[in-house]
Order: sequence, then C-alpha cells, then structure tokens
Amino acid sequence: MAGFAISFLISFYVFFLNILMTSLGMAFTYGVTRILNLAQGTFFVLGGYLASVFAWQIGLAFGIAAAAAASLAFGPLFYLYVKALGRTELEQLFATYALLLIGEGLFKLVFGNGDYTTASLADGLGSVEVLGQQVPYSYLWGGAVAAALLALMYLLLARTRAGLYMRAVRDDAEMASALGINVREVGLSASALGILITAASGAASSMWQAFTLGLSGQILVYAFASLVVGGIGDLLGVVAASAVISAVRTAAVFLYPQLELVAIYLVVIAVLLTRPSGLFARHARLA
Amino acid sequence: MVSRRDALKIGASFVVGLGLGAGLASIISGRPSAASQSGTTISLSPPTSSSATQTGQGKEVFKLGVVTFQTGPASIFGVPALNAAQLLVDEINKAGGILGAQIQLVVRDESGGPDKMVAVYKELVQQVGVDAYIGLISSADCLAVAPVAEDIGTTLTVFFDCATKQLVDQGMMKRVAFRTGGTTVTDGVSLAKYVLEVMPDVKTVAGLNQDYAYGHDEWDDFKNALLAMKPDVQIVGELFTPLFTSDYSAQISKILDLAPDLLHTSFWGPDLVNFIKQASARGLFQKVKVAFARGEFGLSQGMPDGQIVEGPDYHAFPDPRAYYVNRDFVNAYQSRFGSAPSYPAYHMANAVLGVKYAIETAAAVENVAWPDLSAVIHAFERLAYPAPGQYIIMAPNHNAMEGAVVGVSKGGDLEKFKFMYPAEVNPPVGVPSTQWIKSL
Amino acid sequence: MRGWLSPIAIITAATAAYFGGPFLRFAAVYILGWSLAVFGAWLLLRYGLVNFGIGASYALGAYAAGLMYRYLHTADLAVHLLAAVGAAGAWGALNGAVGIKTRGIYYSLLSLSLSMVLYGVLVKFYTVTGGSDGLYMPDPRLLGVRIGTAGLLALAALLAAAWAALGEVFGRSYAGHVAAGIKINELRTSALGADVGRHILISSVLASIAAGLGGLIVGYSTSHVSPDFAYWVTSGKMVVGGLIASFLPWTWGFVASAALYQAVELYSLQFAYPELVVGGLLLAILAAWRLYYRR
Repeated sequence: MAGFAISFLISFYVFFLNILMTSLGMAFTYGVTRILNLAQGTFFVLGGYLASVFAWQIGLAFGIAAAAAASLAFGPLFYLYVKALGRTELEQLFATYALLLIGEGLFKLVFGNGDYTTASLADGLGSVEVLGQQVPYSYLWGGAVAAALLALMYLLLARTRAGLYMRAVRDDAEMASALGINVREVGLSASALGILITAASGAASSMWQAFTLGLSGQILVYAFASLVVGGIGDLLGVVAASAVISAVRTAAVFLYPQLELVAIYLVVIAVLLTRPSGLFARHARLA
Repeated sequence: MVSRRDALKIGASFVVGLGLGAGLASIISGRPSAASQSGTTISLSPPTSSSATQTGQGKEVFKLGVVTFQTGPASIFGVPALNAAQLLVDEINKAGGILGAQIQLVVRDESGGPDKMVAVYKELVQQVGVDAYIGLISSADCLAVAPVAEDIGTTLTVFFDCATKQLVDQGMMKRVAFRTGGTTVTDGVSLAKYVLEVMPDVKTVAGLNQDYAYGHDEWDDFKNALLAMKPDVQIVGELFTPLFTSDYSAQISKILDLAPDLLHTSFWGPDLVNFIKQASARGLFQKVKVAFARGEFGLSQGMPDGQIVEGPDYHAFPDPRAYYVNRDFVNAYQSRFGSAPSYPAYHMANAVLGVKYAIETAAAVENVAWPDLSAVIHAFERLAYPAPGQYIIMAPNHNAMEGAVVGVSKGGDLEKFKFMYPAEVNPPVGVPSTQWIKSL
Repeated sequence: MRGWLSPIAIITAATAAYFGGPFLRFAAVYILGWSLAVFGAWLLLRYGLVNFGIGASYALGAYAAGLMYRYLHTADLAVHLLAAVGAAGAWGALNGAVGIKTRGIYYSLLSLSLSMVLYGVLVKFYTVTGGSDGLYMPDPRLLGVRIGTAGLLALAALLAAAWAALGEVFGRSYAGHVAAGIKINELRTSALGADVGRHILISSVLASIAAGLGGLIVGYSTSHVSPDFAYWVTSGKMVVGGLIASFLPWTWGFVASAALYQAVELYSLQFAYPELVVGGLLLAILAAWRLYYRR
C-alpha cells in the first residue's frame, strides 16, 4: 500500500509540475493583457530548444538561465506585434494564430527536425530513493524553479507598485487607464514577464521532456485548461487547477487507463458546468 | 482614420508577412529540384539497354510525386525519407534516368490529415499529372488514399511506409496501388521471434503503446504472435497513452509495480525520447527489459544498453562491406546529409527503386520504349529487386514481403542483430494476418 | 438587395468550376463543404463566441453517414442528410445548453473539451468507429442512382447557397441585431428584453447543423472520414476561416474565406516550410484588414 501511495504521489507531483509549468506564464499574461495567446506554447518550446542548445555549451543551470534570459526580449515584441495588428479580441486571436504557424516554420528553419532535450545532462544530477522508488533530482529542481517563479510573481504582484498597477489593469483596464495608469506600459512589462516565465518553464522542462516540431499546439491545450479551470486572475487558482487536473489524470492512469485520453477534458467540462468562470473566479463583471 | 504611424506599422507588418510568405516560398520551392549533385559513386542503376529494338515514343521527363511529413512531430520520419528520395533521384538521373526519362520530383507535405491527403493525391494526379506517386507515412492517410487511387486508376501509386495491415487484409490494393514495405505484423512477429530466442524463459509481458490504431496494431500483433509461440506467457498489463504525452511518470510507476520480465513499446518521435529519458531516470531499464518495435530512432537518443530493438531496417545490415547496394547508399547518404540513413530512408529507397525497376522490366518484357500502366502493374506484381536494406520481393497482393532486422542495443548501435526472413514474418498471400499469427 | 446575389454568385462559381476539369470539380466540392463549417464558426463569432469545438459537428455529420453505410449499408443521400442534420443538431443543442452560462475563453475551452471527448470516443471505440484509421464514405445515391461528381457539386453549391441566403436573412433580422448586441454588451441586450440564452442556443444548433452538413460533403468528396475531423486543430482552422469571413463585407464571405484558406493551405504543402506560407498569408490578410476596414 505504501508502495502504491508513493508511486501515485510521485506521478501526481511530476504531472502537476508539467501542467503548472505550461500554464503559469499564460495565466500571468492573459490575466493582465487579456490577450488569448495561441502562440503561448511556442515560447514554451522556444525555451526548451534554447536550453537544450545552451546547456551543452555552458552547463545545465546556466543553460536554463540563459534560455530564459534570451527570451526576455520576445515578450515586449510579442505585445507590440499583437497590439499593432489586432485591436479587438478576435483580431488578436487571429494574430497569435499566425504567430503560432510562423513559429513552427521558424523552429524548423533554425533547429531542424530533431529532438532537443537536456535529459542526458539532467541524469548527471542523480536521483534520490524514496521507499524503494527512484525520484530523479531533476524533478525536484524543476519544482524549485516553479516555486521560485511563483514566489517571484507573488512578490511582484503583492508587494510592488508595478504589481499594483498590474492588478489594477487585470481587474479593470478602462478604470485603471482613467486613473492615470499607462496600460500600454503595464501590458508591455506583463507580457515580458509572462513570456519570460513561460520560456523559463520550458527550459526547465527540457530536463525531462524532448522538444520537437509540432509541440507548440499540443502544449497549448494543457495551459488553456489549467487557466480556465483555475479562473483568471489568481495565481492560487492556477496551482489548484494544475493539482486537480494532475490528480484526475493520475488516478485515471492508475485505476481506469481507458480514460486518460479524455481525462483533462472531463475535468474542464465538470468544473465549467458547476462554476462557469473557473474554480477561483474573481468578482467578474459582465461585458 | 489611419494615422501615419499606424499606417507605417501596418505597412511594415504587411511587408513582413509578404516577405515571410512569398519570399521564403519562392526560395524554398526551388530547393528540391535544384539539389546539387554530390560527387559520390553510387551505382544503383545499371546502364539502360538502348540497343534493343524499341517501338513507340520514349519519355523525356518522368514526374514523380513524393508525399511525406516535413512538418510536425512525424517529420522525424519524413525528412530522412525525402532525403533518400532526392539522393536516389539524383543518382538515377545522373545514370540516364528511367529509360532515358529524367525524373522530376514533385514534393508535398503530408500534414493536414487524411482528407487533405486525398486532396493532395488528386492535385498531383489530376492537376500536376505525375507519372507515379510515392507517399504516406500515416496509416489513416494510406487507408483514405488507397480507395481514391484505385477509383481514379490512372497512376502508379506506391505507399512507402504506412504500416497498417488493413491494406492487405481488406484487399485494398487491387490495381494501381502497391506498398513496398512491411506491416505491423512484420514488426510484431519479428520482434516476438527474437524475444523468444534471447529470452526463452520470458514469463510476464506488459505493453506500453500509443492510443491510436498504429499503437494498438503493433501491440496486438506482437502479443498474439508471442502467445501463439509460447502460450504460457502471461500478459500482465496493457497500457495506452495519448499521442505526444510529455510525461510518463504514472505509466512508469505502474510498470515498476507490475515488474514484468519484458515491456513492449512501439513509441516513436518525442514520445520515444521522453519515455527513454524518463524511464532511465527512474531506473526502469535496470528492472525491466524493453522490446522496441520500430525503435531504431531511440538508438541515437540515449537508449540504454541491452534492450531489444527492431529496425525494421538498420544501416549496418546487410553488411556494407559485403553488399555494394547498401554500401553505396549509406556512403552517399552520409556524405550528403551527415548521418546514417534511418529506416524511413530505406523504405523510400524501396519505393523509388521499385517504381524504376517495374517500369524498366515492363519495357524490356513488352519490348517498347515506354510501357503502359497495365504492363508496369503486371511487372510490379511479380518483381523482386535489390534495395539498399534488403532484397524486396513483391507479392501478388501488391505488398512487399519485407523482412526485419532485430538486435540488442549497445552504445547507440545495434549488436547481435538478426535478419528475420520475409517469408517467416509475413502472412502468405490470401491468408488473413490474424489467422496466420494464430498458426505460428 | 445586393446581398441576395450571394446565392447566385455561389452557384455561378460552382458551375464555372464544373468546367475546370476533375481536380477543380473536386476542389470546389471540398471548399464548399468546408465553407459550411466556416459558416458555423462565423455565425457564432457574430455573438462573440469562439467555438474551438465546431469540428465535432463537422465530424458528426460525416460519421453519421459513414456509420450508417457501415452498419445499415445504406448510401441513400436523403437518409444521410437526415442523419447528419439530426446528429449535428443534437450536438449543437448539447453544446449550446452546456455552454449557455460560459462566455469568452471559458466558452472556447468548454466547446474544445466537448469536441475532444467526442474525438476520444471516436478513437477509442475502434471496433465501432474504425478508430484513428477512420471510415470509408460511400458515393451517395439518390433514389438508387449514384449522384456522381456533378451531383455532389450541385448538392454542395445548393447547400452553400441556402446557407448564404440564411446568412443574409440573419443579417437583416431581429436575431442578427441581438447577436451584435450580445457581442457588444450582453447585459444591456438582455436588459432590453432579448432572451440571450435562447438566441445563443438556437444559433448554436444552426451553426452545428451547418458544420455537420459541411463534414458530410467533405467526407463524400474524399470518400473518407477520420477522427481528425473532430480534433481541435481542425476547429481552430474553421475559426480562422470564420474570422477571415467576418473581415469580408459580403454574405458569401464564408465561401470566399474557405476558398482562400484551403487554396493557400494546399498550395503551401509543396514547400519545405508550409507553416511560414500560411502564417505569412494570415498576417498579410490581417494587415490589409487593419489598413482598409478599420473601424
């Protein structure tokens, strides 16, 4: 029984980490800018690609950090791109879809069609034995990265003036603007941060995941699900949603594997049927 | 009103868009045909006999449509296959083409699903007017295109890789459609035979495969072949995961719990890499031996030593020192693309050479300058020809009898590998595969 | 008045395509079929609803006929049409009823999830649905006679023309104004006395039926249906088609947009980087739209 419990917990934790990593940055960007970014997965994959390239040159930790740093510039560019091309939400959707396609093409141009991962380097980190089960340190380091990103976001949002502005824009951009907040600057910095977080998560995920062509779209669905189940505008919501999704999926694999293919979607349907604005919806204003 | 600044921005985006779209398009479109001739000494095509008395008109250009994945996760198969096609076409053209006709490649991407592949097939056949069509990696794509190809019935259609046994079992390749490769039955039976040779005492077996037709077929064929040959084997678990799963920790935990003697998987692409990496990190390979169907790609992705891997082709077989066709292919491929050819490259070679030999044989038999379609089909149905990976024997059911290479991984290579003879790993013509597997 | 020329324009274009050779005939059927799915996405976009699961209806329309042929051996067009409309209509009602309280990205993801559950069912029940390999679609028959390519083209053109006419009526009707109202400010629209839920439910059913008929036509044209029809990426492409249609000022915009998207996608497949071609084109369209039709 203890063996089963520990197996379950390890699997739960690892998938939780996966989901959380893919959705953190998206939740942050969407919360503030309200740009539904279909190209979010592109930046996650970019982080993974860059980390895999850098890590072989300068080592694992520096490689991941360098990948995150290198992607910092993409955030503001992304924000300007979307704002220049799309004023309404639908136009922005269109613009990010085009970006998703272009990103895939550019990945093939730059990285070719191979599999990119830092797993071989991460193997060097070793593993710890928990009740007869080997748990690789890479997952623990990944968890540390996620926790650090969360803490960073929390401190920024709750403790700084910039964070105050971001929260104001998140709750009501029009009102914030009327109060003299430069919504554009807030959007720029939030996108920069959101994409930095996404790329950093992708870079850290390269320790256990291979990156290849065609993944940008696949990853999007996980991020999307976690964002919606959690309810927009709450970091805690994203964490809780990732935990719920991971618990259901892991339980499905252990108890009724037939359901794995649709487990995530069933969670989404169940949650949205009972709470149409997610688990941790804030006082949403209609229209 | 559009302000000047906005207009500039929009103009800039417009230019970027057009630049990306049209500019890249025009550069890239020139690529396939403009591929440079590398100075290698491949000798795959014997000189064509021009002395024979021939009737009718020859051909100057032979348009060959090639459809394979160039985007998405399956491009890991499609790109080596396209490389092989370009390589062979260049070599054949250098040696005088097919009966004097220079081959012109017309390349299409396989992305977009079965309905798009039907559209592409019709475009190539009815619009571009290709003389022969080679294509398709995905089973669903083949199953969609086969009836359409037979229905149109004007163009030699060769499936080079898709592994579905339905094409044979349902008799879907009647006239113009052929397949120059094996099926999941070939994979499953070869792997099962090899497993029983190296692990005669195997008791418990589990499967971990992708949750779609290909994964289910690979597992069923392996499992049924193994059970037919060793009925006391116990199947302790059958796991299926959605395509492109990034995390296998739950499945790995479950397999560690089940602790089978052997695990079977037919993972490919990112799933294969993810599984190998995550399973190594969790120490799975120390406790369970794994048999990889079509696992050749894993060898370059950190596959641990001592695992059973089925090719189905492998660049060191047949021994390049002894078999010149493979030697020339491997050397030419390596010098042009920087790596050894992987199995899709071999599958593509089967198809390109099959088309060439079928046409040449038909012309020789009929004694014409250029044979008509029915003569080519007649020849192809009975053809056996040397390809880089093995001798290809075409059967009357329009499918190749293809053997498979199985071995044990060692330091990124395959050792102790064995070639499973075609007639031992393919059902006889006319016998449904399930029935044949039971009789093993 | 000019709007009523739309159905005529569609039928004229289809007639012209008939004389353009076998491939153009096929392409015209495929595009007209796909355009019906685009119509579905476009109709919901009028309400501000981005349906990333419209592919489910598209798949149901085709599967209804494919399964009917597999199990009842009927290739009768009338039966297939009824089955497709019934299945897609029921799905639209389900999607509408389930999604009635959700808006924005919640609606998008809910519809995506519903379609992916259907996708999962289609893949999982291999023995019933053919799994990921899909199903063969027969040549439809009308009163026992194969309708052939010409008949299929006529059917596709008539259906597209009928939906274009419906779009024209919708644009002028009370329902069309309610849609615009819901998109701009739902609370206010509902305060003005419109039954928002009912409007969304009905449009959801109509959109689903359109997409289902589209799937049926495309399935006929390629003789095959696969679970890919229900995959969310397929829906995403339809939404993009719908967005392009909403940029266009004509009632037949959905056909134009479908033709444009499909032509470019097919064209792009000959390049080593097809995504760059399609992505570049979408950017160009968006830029052109922003330049010329800015509100």
